[in-house]
Amino acid sequence: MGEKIQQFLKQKFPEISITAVADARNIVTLSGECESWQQLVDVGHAVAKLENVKNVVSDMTVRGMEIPGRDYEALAREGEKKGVLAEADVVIVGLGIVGCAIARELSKYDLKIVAIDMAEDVATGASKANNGGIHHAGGVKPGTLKAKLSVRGNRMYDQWAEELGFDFIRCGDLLYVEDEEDIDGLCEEFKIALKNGDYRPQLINGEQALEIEPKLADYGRKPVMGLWLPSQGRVHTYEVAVALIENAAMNGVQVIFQCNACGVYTEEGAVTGLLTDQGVIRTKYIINAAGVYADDISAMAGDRCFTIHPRRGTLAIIDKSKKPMFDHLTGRFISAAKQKRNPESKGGGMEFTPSQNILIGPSAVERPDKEDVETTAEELEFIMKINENPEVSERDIIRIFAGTRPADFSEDFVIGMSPIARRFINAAAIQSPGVGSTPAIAEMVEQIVLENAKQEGMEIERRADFNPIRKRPVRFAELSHEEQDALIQERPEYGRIICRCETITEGEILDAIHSLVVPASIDAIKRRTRAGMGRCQGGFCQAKVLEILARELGIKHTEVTLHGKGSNILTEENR
Amino acid sequence: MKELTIDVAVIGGGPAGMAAALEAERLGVKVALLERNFELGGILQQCIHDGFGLQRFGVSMAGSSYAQKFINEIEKAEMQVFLDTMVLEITEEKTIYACSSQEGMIRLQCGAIILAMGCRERTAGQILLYGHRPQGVMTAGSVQRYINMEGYLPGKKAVILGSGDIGLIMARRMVLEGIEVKGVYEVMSSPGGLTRNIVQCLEDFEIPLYLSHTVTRIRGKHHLEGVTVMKLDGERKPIPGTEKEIDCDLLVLAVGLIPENELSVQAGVEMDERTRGPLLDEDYMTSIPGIFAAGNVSLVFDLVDYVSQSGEIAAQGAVKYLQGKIDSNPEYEKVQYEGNVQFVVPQRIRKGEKEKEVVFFLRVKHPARRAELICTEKEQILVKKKLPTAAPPEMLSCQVKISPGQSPKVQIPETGNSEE
Repeated sequence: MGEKIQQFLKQKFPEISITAVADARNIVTLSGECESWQQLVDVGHAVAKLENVKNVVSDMTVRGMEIPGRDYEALAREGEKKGVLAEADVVIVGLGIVGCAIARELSKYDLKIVAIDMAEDVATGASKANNGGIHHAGGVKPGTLKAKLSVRGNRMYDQWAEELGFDFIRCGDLLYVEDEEDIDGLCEEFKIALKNGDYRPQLINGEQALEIEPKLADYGRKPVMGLWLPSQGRVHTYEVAVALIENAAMNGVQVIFQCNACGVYTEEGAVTGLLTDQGVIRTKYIINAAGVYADDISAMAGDRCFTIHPRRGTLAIIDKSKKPMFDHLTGRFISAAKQKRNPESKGGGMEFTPSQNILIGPSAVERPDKEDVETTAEELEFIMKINENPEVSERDIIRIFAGTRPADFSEDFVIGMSPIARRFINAAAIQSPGVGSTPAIAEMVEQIVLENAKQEGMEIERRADFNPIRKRPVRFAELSHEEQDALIQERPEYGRIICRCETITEGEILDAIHSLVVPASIDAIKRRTRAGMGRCQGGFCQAKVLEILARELGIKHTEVTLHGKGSNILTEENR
Repeated sequence: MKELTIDVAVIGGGPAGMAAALEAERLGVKVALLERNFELGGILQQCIHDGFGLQRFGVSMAGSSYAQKFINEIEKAEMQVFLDTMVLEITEEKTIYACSSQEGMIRLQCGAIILAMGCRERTAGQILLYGHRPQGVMTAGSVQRYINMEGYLPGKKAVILGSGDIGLIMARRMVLEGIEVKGVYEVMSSPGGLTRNIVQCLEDFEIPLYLSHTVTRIRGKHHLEGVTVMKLDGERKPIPGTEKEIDCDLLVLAVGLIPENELSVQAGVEMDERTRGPLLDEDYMTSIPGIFAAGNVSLVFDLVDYVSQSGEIAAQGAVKYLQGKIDSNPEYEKVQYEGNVQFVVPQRIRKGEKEKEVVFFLRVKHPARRAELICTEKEQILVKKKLPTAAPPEMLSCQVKISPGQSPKVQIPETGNSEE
């Protein structure tokens, strides 16, 4: 197989020389020097698309470029000095939405679960920098794991939102065409949605489209045909992650932040422990939900079966005073052939969050550095071209940010038990439609654990005292004035507004700080409460939040950080 | 819920609100002053530098001292002062809903309302700063607060983007605190702050000012490590090849102020795109009769003295309104302007009332020398004022007597002496 691939590459990329080696699982490892990062990604994709190739591991290099990576050896030396940190049955590495969901799912069972993340909080990677879409299945390739899990995950969100108390709107997605030329493409998307088993997709005529979204006419749109996908929904991804980990913690999961995985211990081909820079965690299972670093963690277990090539996406948030054009997610459908976009990811469009902020983007750009979340003028220009809202311009942007999607070359999820290291389970390469798929991903990992346990003769019991309910935190701004009054009478802290843009009270911030999973940075407080998320971007409230954090956590002002180690807000006391 | 009826409610206890509240009380009406902070004074409390009050009191003092003069008066006054009280909602019927930890929710039924919420600073997101988003990028006001109020330093090596007055003041303040200030970079071809601040805060401390420059990239994943600055062409586009890397751990943004009108908009007050404040008449009454605006919520002033003055104008208007001397469904005459004029406030004047004195505030579009400020009514010159120099950061004002039916025009003819 390896040789065949090499010949294929020689034809397709004659200017470079790439070596391909396939293993028994048809995982192909590529090595050799490429001329650019984009070319390296193109080579990986080309090979992954070949028949029978399961996935691609890249050892390729780029001429004149050092591909950034983490120094795990230094972390390991640090950790080895420290001895045993914890004993567990299951360790979850990485607390994005996927890791948090797995933690919560497994907390139903009588298992000692330790969940770790390298950052100071949950949801600090892709989970904080995406548009929160609970996708319909019209855009997903049938037969993929993505297709299967996104359809199932999507349906599970209603129950999740109810149990976990996070904001969820099922806004539906209306795609329409104004040009007869695009009808075929729209029908194709309909067929895909049907084939994937998406919930009640409907092909509709122009009039019906106008009935669903009468505002189309206000903007002079003349739909000739539409595709109505009622399953589309929206969440704040970071809020879902917080709700999940809080519920997991309620049910006994131990959370350790600023903890870096740097080695996997195995005995006789099965996991026995995880080395971290904080010490060793003895464990039977390791679940790898490490996002952009998942390939590194899998390699630590001796199983190099995929490579993550980070794909950056830039998003712009618009001031709340500008309202979304439509009540549903509504977009003109343009056939893929007409779009000049990254073929592996179409990127996003005009969207809105459950708190009704317009969100524009993301873009999709391949970058070599997994932590490269820089914004650029070019990418902003790109996403602002998507903007169809005549009321919205660059002037209304309150923040631009970027995140990296943990894409692999197969462009599908990698979920499963490693055949090389037993009880090491990957939940990796989760990119769009990852947020919507997450409930089903967690369920799938749960099944893998249960089946393995059965095979190994371990008994895993359901906990009788599992509590699936995580109460929605108090949101002062949403209450009636009478309710607000009653709340302040009971607890005066709710009468002190800290963040004036979003009307967030000290009471809400205290609730967050004294929760089971402590948000110990300014950004973590922002993700819990929305303090600092409004138009002044913390200009007024950061100093107050800093004060509250220092007081409540019993730390010095100079110890408070924006987002973990090395981001202290204040350097020293003044003269 | 605590319920109150009041003649005039003033929202915001900064210089505009304090002046308005005192003036309203002096005119004999029942006043409530609502302030979100635990003390009165607003942003003046963190302005410990000199330069306030020269116009009004004839002496230059610190911002906090200027505020204290008003606070002392208020302490002697009979008005109700609500501290730590945040207004959440204003209705068109002039009902205010506010919350405080001591009182719970408060419902105030008001005869008239004066909006005096001030302004806020533009942020990194709004000016489209590219690159990473590390700790170490802060508005000048936040830096001022951390250093002057909290007693901490947010960095050791600073770059300032924007030459607005707070940025200039902070340049000097940071040097005095031992922070190395590497330079002030201004997008425009002329400074954003007052000339006296350029001289006293930059030149006297040998801090370089780079006009037509901007920051194009922020470096540093966790903490700011440096910025890239570039020179800009005539269309304010970065000129390739002019990149300069500067190491710093603090980027201070002094890139402009925006009137804080969320409550005004929510109440349904009509806004002016140019000032980003409410559309005002000669009594600083908004489009909702009985709701007035004063200070930086109506337009961003340069000197606090004018802010106080505008508060008094609004208070006099509010009392007039309570006395039924203002038509509740007025017709307006638009104030015209032309030449080197960015905007004029008030933007309109009520028609058909008796002769009155109107104070106009305006800014020029670009710097000029030996210009004239002229206010005319048809062919007749009402006021003429010589302007030896004029620059956009400096607010100009003129007082004009206007007779019923007159429609004034404010103009600064282009002199050809502009300093582009």
